[in-house]
Amino acid sequence: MVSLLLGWRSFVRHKRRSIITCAAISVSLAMMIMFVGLADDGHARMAELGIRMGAGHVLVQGKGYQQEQTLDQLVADPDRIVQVAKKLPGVKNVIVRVRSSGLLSAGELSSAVLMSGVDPKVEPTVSDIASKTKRARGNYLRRRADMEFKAGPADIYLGDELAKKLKVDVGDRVVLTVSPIDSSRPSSAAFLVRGTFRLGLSELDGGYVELPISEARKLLHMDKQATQVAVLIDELEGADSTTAALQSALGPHQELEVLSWKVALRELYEAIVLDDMGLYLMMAIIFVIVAIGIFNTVLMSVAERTREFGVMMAIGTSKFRLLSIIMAEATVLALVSAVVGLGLGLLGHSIIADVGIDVAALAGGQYEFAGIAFSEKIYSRLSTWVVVKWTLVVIGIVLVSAIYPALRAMRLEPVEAMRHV
Amino acid sequence: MSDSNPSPDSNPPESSPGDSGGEVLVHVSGVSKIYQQGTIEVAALSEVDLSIMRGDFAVLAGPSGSGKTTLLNLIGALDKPTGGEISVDGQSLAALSGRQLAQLRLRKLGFVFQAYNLIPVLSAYENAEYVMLLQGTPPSERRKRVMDLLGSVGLSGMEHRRPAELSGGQQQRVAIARALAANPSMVLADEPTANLDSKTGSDLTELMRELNHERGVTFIISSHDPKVIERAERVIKLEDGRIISDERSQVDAA
Repeated sequence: MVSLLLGWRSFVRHKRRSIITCAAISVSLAMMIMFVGLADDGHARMAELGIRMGAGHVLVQGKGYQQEQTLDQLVADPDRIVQVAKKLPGVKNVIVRVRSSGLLSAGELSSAVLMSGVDPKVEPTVSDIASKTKRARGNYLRRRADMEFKAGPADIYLGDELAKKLKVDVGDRVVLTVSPIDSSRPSSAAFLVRGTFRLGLSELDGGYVELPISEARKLLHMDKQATQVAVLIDELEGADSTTAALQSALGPHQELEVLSWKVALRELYEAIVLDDMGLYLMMAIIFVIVAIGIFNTVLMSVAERTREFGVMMAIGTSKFRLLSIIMAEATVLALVSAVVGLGLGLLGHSIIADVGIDVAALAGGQYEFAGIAFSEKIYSRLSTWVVVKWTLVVIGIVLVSAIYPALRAMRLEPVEAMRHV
Repeated sequence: MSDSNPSPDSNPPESSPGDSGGEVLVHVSGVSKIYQQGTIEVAALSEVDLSIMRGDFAVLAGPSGSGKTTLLNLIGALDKPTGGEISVDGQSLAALSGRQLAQLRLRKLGFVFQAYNLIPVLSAYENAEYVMLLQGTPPSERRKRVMDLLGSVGLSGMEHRRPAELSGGQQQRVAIARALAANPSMVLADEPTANLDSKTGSDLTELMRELNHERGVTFIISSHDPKVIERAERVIKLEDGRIISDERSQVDAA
């Protein structure tokens, strides 16, 4: 307590030095908080975007599908999985999809595509591709029951570039050819172009189509099987726990694989991890610089006050007490800086969280991350734990940097120290 | 060499001149201090024997380099002798650890230095309070004693000034208040008036005499200031690291 009082007095009296050091530490902490908030939000948005582009937070697929991506690995009873998954906490939606590769042709022109059979009612609520915001032309798919000519060709929804490549427009007829599951003879059907989408991502814009799941099953000679059951949940952070919960709810299953988006969208997840590592590396560099600064400041301040410490020892301050006074001073420095840094950082965070930063505009219109076109604004998101963690790291660095100078002061001998000018 | 055999020379080991029959507070016997300067050994003190009685107002006099400050530092447990033994209040300093020596300085000794040596970042009040903080004195008593001491050294109203805002004489008064704040058995003052003008120096000497009389605090002052020497009850003269005379005189309390 006494050391803290003396440390505080010393901190307050050496005004200029305290203010400069404090400013350096608190600005670093504030920057850190803002960077982490921005990065975490950006990454979460990218992950959500990836998930909304036809994946899910958790995917259930036939064992080996992730690797092989063929129709040999099917989910035999998707309805049971839907029932089980819907009972899990935090689950917002469960979607059954049928996917396959195929060939889309219009007249003389044709193009290889990835086709996805989806529920036309549900898909627009869960997928960016199906949403109005990415619509280039026309409308989204209808269920056959909602169509005027129930016997005619079903709807197909495709990438805008693909439509251009095939020279088709809304209302035109196209033919989709696939290899069904039970035969090597191709199966084809005619579809009407209902609408097109544009994501700004050539892989999808130029080679991806959606059609009602019932039509997809018919084409592939499937009964009630599916290639994929996608589970969507409230919070991105809950993906791992939902994966585990679903795994145990389904029981040991030889024919299924339950994957979180981190595995299903491995490329994206690894890009995020790499980006995080880059951020940590940058922070580590900032911290090393700050630590050197603090170390230097404390060392200088100890050297400057050699005489003062000599006097303190002469009039009865023990070496241990001297150490604790210097450490108390560093503690005061750390705490004051932490409070100021937190204040600045959280202020910056709340401004960015409110206004947002347009990354695509900063990058000159287009920003692509791990194959995902990013056109959203990035805001800032922080969890209490993240803030607490980085604040503790900063406090720790200040205290660690003060140890050596404090130990040096402890080694002073009063008579010699007092002779020091 | 340091046994009971009384030597005929001028170093009286046990019975100081004009001994008031009091209790021995400091006992110095056969103390030497040798400094190493490069390859040369310099003897700052050689074979010094001295006893200081409780309540003494003693001045260590002599030219610079005579060993006054060295002797004072040794008595004050700020430095260790090369040979011989020193005891303060019955405790042999050689037997104490660094921590115990710090405790001894904190509880039994007060220091006044030539260069004032106040803690620059603390106010007059806080400087005087410092040792009491270390001693763990309760806040109310701290406050009472600091105000009382600053009053008795004539600094009422200047409690919140920093050392830089005080004159040399005022700083030295704060130093005396600080030295007395710990309620020490003895105050060691090293050339306390050397940096002060003669009027201020005399006033300060008077102040120390008063405190010596009124509070019964023992003072050992090193000085070559004649004004200080003439106010001393006991003058111990040093030359080349040896005591050459030790005399008591009657000095009227001014």
